[in-house]
Amino acid sequence: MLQLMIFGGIGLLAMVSEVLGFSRIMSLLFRVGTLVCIASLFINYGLDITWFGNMMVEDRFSQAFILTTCLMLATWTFGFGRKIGEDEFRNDYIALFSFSMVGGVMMLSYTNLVMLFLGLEILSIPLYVLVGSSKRNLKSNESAFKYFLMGAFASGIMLFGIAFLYGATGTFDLHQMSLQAQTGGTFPIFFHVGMVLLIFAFAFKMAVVPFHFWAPDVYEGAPNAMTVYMAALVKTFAIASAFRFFFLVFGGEAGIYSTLLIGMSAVSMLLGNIIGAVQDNPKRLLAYSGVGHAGFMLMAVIVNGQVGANALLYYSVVYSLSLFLAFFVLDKVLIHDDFYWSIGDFKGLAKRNPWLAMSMSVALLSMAGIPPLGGFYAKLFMLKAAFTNGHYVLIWAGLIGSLVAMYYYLKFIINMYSRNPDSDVDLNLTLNYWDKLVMGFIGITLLILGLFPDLVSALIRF
Amino acid sequence: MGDHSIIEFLPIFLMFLVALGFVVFTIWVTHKLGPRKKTEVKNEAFECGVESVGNARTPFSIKYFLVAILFVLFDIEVIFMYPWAVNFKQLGIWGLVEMFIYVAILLIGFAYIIKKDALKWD
Amino acid sequence: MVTEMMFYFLSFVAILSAIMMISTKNPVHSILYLIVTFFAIAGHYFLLNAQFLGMVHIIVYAGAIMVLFLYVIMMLNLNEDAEPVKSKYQKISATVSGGIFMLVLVASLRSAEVSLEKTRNTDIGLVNQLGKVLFNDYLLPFELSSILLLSAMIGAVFLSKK
Repeated sequence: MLQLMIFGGIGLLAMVSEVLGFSRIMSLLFRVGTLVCIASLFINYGLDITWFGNMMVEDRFSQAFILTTCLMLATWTFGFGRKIGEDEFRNDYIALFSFSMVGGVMMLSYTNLVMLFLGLEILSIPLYVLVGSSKRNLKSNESAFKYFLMGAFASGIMLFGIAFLYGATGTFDLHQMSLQAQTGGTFPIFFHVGMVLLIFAFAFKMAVVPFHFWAPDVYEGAPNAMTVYMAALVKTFAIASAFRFFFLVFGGEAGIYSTLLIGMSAVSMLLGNIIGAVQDNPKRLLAYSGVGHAGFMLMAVIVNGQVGANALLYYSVVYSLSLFLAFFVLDKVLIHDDFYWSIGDFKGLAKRNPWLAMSMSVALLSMAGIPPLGGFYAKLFMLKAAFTNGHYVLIWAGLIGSLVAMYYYLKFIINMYSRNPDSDVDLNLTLNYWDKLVMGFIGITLLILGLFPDLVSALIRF
Repeated sequence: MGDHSIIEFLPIFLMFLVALGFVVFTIWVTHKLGPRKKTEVKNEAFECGVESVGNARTPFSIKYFLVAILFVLFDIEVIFMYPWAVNFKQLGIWGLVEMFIYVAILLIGFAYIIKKDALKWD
Repeated sequence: MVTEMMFYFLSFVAILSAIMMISTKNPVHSILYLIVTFFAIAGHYFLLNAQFLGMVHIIVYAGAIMVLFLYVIMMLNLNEDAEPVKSKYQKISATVSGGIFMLVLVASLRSAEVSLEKTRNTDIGLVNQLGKVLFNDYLLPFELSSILLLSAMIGAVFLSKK
């Protein structure tokens, strides 16, 4: 609740600052606000607090996820915020980001389906705008439009699903719904329809096969900073909110709906990575690999419970950090603005700038799940969770998907190290100390997380 | 629910019917009463003696759209005031505060719109 | 009896105009059919004793949102000849998936008749009932909806500025 108010307040302040003309200090205020938000979490950490008659409940799960997403937001601002801070429209950006965080916080702590839907909308609407924020750029406009149409459709599907659930149970409140589910009350058959529609809407937001088709186009067209925000934080919000739904309603494995989720998860791990292997555009490649990762994270939703929450929290942190690093490098390397990007642009990056090549390798190796880095434990936790619940399909799909992913990540890395750069590119990509600091910080954090995986999971012990 | 509430809506329904009937009737009557002679020249779009070129469906300024969308947003804000106004007495002072917060938040939006010259028609 | 007749009449109008909306060639006509559909659905709300929802539906959807739709269509410069030709494959797959979805909905709602009979509180849709619920139980979503409106506002201003 406090975090909700802080982010809402920053957003409102950004608008007021535009009116009253103290806009210069706004980007500082945004950073401070994020830190205050992180600090404010520790006031009530570990307590269950109910707000506004069960509209939202702060519990260990929501606090842990809000904490990590705020930390990720701080890291994001640290890496990508500078360009935006210098923009003419920076206050609009700040307001939009703050409001989308409000939506995210709502999605992480809802106990009422109305709050879920409203949170999803508050999260999405600023995003549609942010995706299209480079207004002169046709690709960006196109991707914003696509994302808007698809996203609006998904919101409609979710609302439809919620309406069915309300019809079946007579309540929006998840606690009451779970009481009805656990006392063995028989639901009318359209409860299932509602559930399936809701799952589809969640799947759309997290870009899981077969609702992933928007992701590559949108990721490709959106400005890098927005893409990474969307791919890292919004995916976390979507999956965590799906997790929360199943956790609160079913309190564990979701019975017959698990089968559906297992299918989607397995197919996205396989398909996302296999299609990713044939991509030449690095942003599309990361988008498809993101589909695979979403499949991995969906495992946590299936397994659910304490183990699932642990694995999801760790995975989302590590994946977000890896993406930040990868996109930070991408932003520096793909400087030509014509959208004909290819892996060829990374040819011989090690010779042009070893820092960038090193960071990209760390990011990709972490995503691939190579031991000293965080990605290894992330995948291990997920697979372990799936193993204890006996979902062998998921394990096989995860392993095969990871192998395919490893193939194209390594191809990318070899491309950077063992080939020579094209003769027509600038051989010296210069970086300032700030860039090196950002890359070093994220890289080392990934390493530390890999060495001490308990750092994150300590946050969420119920 | 019974039929009694339908009967309550009968006057509204009748009003709609009368309104619709009036529109249809006037359109029909004007067509019937006025003398008409259709010629090719008369049916052409009037363009000061110059022959008409192109299509009337050309894209027009986004300003219209902006004004319309802002109208919708404030329209929705006002919609929320109906159930509030009906319950004004029961909600008491706390209800007033609730609505004040809501309106204050949206007033910031309004000030922002004015400051950004979104409503200016240059 | 009157209710039932009204229901069938409104449903007929709603479905017919919805079909007309997607099958007509002229985009402006399809918007006008959409308005008719909205009015018919508003009529359904009145039948269900949800007067506030019905009025909102007419004021916001049939009034304001429709204007937006018209503007969008005029802005997009859709002409009949500019309509892209959709492949047969696309049409077939759209029909099949839409048909399956409809089948599922119809099949599931057929069993709903019994449970929908025991409507919980028929007066819940009245303005004063709704206000009580909205400003007590659902206070937080109500206040947060202002944030939603604000972000849409910023978005509109932000995207339309050069």
